[in-house]
Amino acid sequence: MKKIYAERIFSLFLMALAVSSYFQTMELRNQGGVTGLMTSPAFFPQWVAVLLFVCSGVPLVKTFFWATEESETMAFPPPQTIIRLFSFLAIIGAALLIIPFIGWLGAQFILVFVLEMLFEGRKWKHSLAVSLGGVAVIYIVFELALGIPLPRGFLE
Amino acid sequence: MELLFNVANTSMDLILSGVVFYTLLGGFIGTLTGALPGLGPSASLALFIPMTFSFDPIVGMVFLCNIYQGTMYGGRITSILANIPGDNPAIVTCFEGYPMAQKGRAGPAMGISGISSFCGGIVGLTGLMFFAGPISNFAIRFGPPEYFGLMIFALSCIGILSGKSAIKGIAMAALGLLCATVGHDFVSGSIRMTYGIVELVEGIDLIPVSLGAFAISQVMTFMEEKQFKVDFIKSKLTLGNIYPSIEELLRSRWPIVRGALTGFFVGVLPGAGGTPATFISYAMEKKVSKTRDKFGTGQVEGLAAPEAANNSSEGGALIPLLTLGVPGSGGTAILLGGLMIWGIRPGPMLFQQNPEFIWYIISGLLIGNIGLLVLNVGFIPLFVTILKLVQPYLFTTITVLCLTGVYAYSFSFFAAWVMLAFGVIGYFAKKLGYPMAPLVLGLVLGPRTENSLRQSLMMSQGSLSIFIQSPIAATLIGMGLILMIFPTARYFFDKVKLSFNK
Repeated sequence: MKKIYAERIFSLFLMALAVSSYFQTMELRNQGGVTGLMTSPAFFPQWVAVLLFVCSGVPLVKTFFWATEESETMAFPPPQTIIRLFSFLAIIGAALLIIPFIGWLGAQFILVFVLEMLFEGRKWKHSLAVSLGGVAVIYIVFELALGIPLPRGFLE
Repeated sequence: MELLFNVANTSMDLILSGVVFYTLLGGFIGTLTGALPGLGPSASLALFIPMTFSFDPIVGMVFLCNIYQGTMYGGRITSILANIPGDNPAIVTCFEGYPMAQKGRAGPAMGISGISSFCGGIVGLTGLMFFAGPISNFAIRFGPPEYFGLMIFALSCIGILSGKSAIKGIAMAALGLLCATVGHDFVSGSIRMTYGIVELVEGIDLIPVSLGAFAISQVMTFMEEKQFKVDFIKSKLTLGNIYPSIEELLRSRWPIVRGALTGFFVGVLPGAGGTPATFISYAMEKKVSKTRDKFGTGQVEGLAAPEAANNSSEGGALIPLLTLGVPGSGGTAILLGGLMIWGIRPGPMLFQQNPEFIWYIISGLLIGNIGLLVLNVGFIPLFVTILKLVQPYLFTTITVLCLTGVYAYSFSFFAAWVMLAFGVIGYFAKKLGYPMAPLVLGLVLGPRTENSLRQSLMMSQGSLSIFIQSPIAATLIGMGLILMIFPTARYFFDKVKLSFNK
């Protein structure tokens, strides 16, 4: 995607966030007590939302009137790489979802194994060794050394 | 004399109590993570802060500050040996350090940069010792209007100094402030902007946002390459050949002094930090040098000055953090987050009520600086070997550390999802030139900014004139507004002028 279009989409995203935040806090405008709106819980977020709206709108306007040569360059890597990145995030998400069942160490073992095999292209024996090593390090550092209890899933 | 006595006393305490181990460990970890391209001080601190919650606050703070200091040293390793900056301040090190390495002078380049970093660190910490007390005494007079002015000035500075585009920096600062308002309002008890998500009632925490914005987004950037690899220049780095010649040391002495002083004063400015300090120092050195035509070919002056500036800026950046509670960069914003999690509120009252805490940090940094000089001059081959071993496993290591760290911080899976969300936002934002440091700073300073504003308005019965009646508040707010408006106004003015000329 060209930078010019990516800039517009991101600016619109920030502006939508600002508008949404502004209207989300409308009902709180009357909670300022004697001093009114100024000390209500709505005053600060609404002003910050306006600032965000304006600051996000300026790059958007710039893309329509003052586009540069850089605007025509590609903002992001090719689609295959974007798919790779989102696959990476999806795998982390899946690991988070299975933690309540197989525990933290089990989920991290599978996560490291999958990342090493799929993304680093390593052979299964190497990936297995890295996964076991990684899990051992997490256990030693977090559970033993720092005393942080990690979820155990079915073993609890 | 009292200052030296405090430093000596607290240094002895740290050595005798064994805390010195954490200073050296922090320095070692900081050097390694600083050397890894793209990670930098902010991501390094975010990665290790969850591990420090069970530590005593002094131990934890000394550990984290030495990680921060270590990253200043570490960034130069890959700059000199691979022409890839370890972090943003180390970009300038590539200009002279890599050409020196190409000429077979990698060892002396590492030696000069290590010695310059050490001298810069000493100057920065000396400045911190001398100026922190008087600044905190002055800041005692600050009330809510002055603090609000200070927050606006700090956010404006970091907004315009963090990236190429001032308006994008301010947009990120505004986003950070907005994120800080999510959840429970402590004054009225109202719930704000949770969109029905129960977990957001507690608000959006700093650690998941920092880990996502700095570390996860960087992992995603690394993953654009099928295999992340840093090619180190083939150079013999042994204890025997890392020392610069006497002539190189003598040529470096005034650049080190100039760089250290520049770095310290630039570092004091909120939002400035190491990157502008190194660029300003390099430009200044090039201007005053008699051999400026040779800059870019491996000039020791061009290497020594920015290294000194980088490390000296750390001492400068700690001044607004410790005396005013205003972080000067993304890294110090995370340090502030750590302090607040331990229940320590930096600012003028910290100097009044708990001055020994400050002296322990200063002593810890001084001892750490000495340790880092030894590590970074004598043990460079060890770091290079470790980097070569670790780099094939970088993605998975950082990913697993982030996930476990964010869980260890909050014992909540929701924090991990927040981290991933901000990782995605951070990745796309960085591609489009939106810096992340203002986002983190806005998140950290948001509650204090809002509280100062509301307290001021309550004091004045809702009148904004309270900010004009205070000269300090009026000056700070005025400067902040000028910093916010001026770059954009000038841009549009230039564009309109160009259109008319055409």
